[in-house]
Amino acid sequence: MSKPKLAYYLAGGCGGCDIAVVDLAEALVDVALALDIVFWAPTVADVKYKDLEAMPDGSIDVALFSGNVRNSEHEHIAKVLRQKSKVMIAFGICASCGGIKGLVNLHTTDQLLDKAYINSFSTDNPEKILPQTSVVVDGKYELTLPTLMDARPLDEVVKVDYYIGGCPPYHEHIGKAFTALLSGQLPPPGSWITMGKAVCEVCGRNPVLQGKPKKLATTVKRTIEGTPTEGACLLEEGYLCLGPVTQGDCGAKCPAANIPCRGCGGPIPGVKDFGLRAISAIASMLDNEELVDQIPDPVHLFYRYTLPGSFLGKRIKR
Amino acid sequence: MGLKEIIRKITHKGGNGMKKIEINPMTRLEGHGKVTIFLDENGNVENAFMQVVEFMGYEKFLQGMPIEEVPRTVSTICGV
Repeated sequence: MSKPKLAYYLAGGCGGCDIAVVDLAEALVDVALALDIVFWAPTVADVKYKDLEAMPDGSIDVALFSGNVRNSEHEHIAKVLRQKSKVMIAFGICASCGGIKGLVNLHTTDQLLDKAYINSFSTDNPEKILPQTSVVVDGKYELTLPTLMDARPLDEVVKVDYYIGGCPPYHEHIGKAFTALLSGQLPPPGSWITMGKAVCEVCGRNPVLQGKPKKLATTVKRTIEGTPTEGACLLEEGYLCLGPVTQGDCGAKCPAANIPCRGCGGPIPGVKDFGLRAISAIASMLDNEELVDQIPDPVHLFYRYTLPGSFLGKRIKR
Repeated sequence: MGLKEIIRKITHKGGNGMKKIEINPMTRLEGHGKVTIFLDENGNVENAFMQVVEFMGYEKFLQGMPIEEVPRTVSTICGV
């Protein structure tokens, strides 16, 4: 039997998901031996877009797509990969929900370019030159760039078979996902590949798991204020932790390091809009209404990883 | 395959009749780049350009974020 063919594409991401695959360490050898990697751009394999376009339709068994869809090039490769692949997986929170880089949707493209290329402290650009999709240098050298768009999760561009959360996905979880893939033990199409538990359910700080009652937070604190009591629930102490609504395939690594969860794992099963559910969860754990006003910068907190895919995402510009 | 044949295969004519080789994407690195090489009529390199084809926008969307949240956010500028 021939080995399953794997393709991997990094779109509007940072390469952190690629590194998380490398974090499989020794298990990576087994994975690499079990799979035939036909495309992994731009990070790993020296295969060009033209080579991918020349592959027969449906010839790739599994395509992993990391990063959001942010420009015309990402969109084009997403569509090509979909056509060439039997199973397409949104790999990591950017591809699944938009990710941190999806926060660009809070602003217009003009605002973003103006800040980066003209009005930032360290920029010297008196002619106010901005990137163009097409330019002719010295009157004869034609160069092109992809067109910038609002960030979108992959499923707003092509049909997605499975989602894997995390920024990046936790390496042990990737190992389990690969095992499920190779053995054909996958959930129904359209599902998240997850154990289905929230961060709280695997968190060593959760009082309920220690048989204690859960207390409401009586203050709201920033992480720079004070030090959390050892072993105590961060949320009870007022550090806004999104563990109740976030997939816990990471094993609650951030709370274990005194850092409240920010939701990179993606929504727990059954939740469509992570931000809305997170707002509702946090609101239900605060002692009184006045505390709501003390939440610093709510949009960057509740929608940090999921703005483009949310109901809110398409409607607001600052 | 001879070198001339390889060049003939991978080049195509630009708008003004100039031959152009596009290497897209640049591989084995994080981030998206593209190299465009222009050849003269003898097939020699006349000019070459490297473009970074991505734009992110952290400069703008970080505004308003509490400072202590910034390090874990900007770690996604490059995750390698």
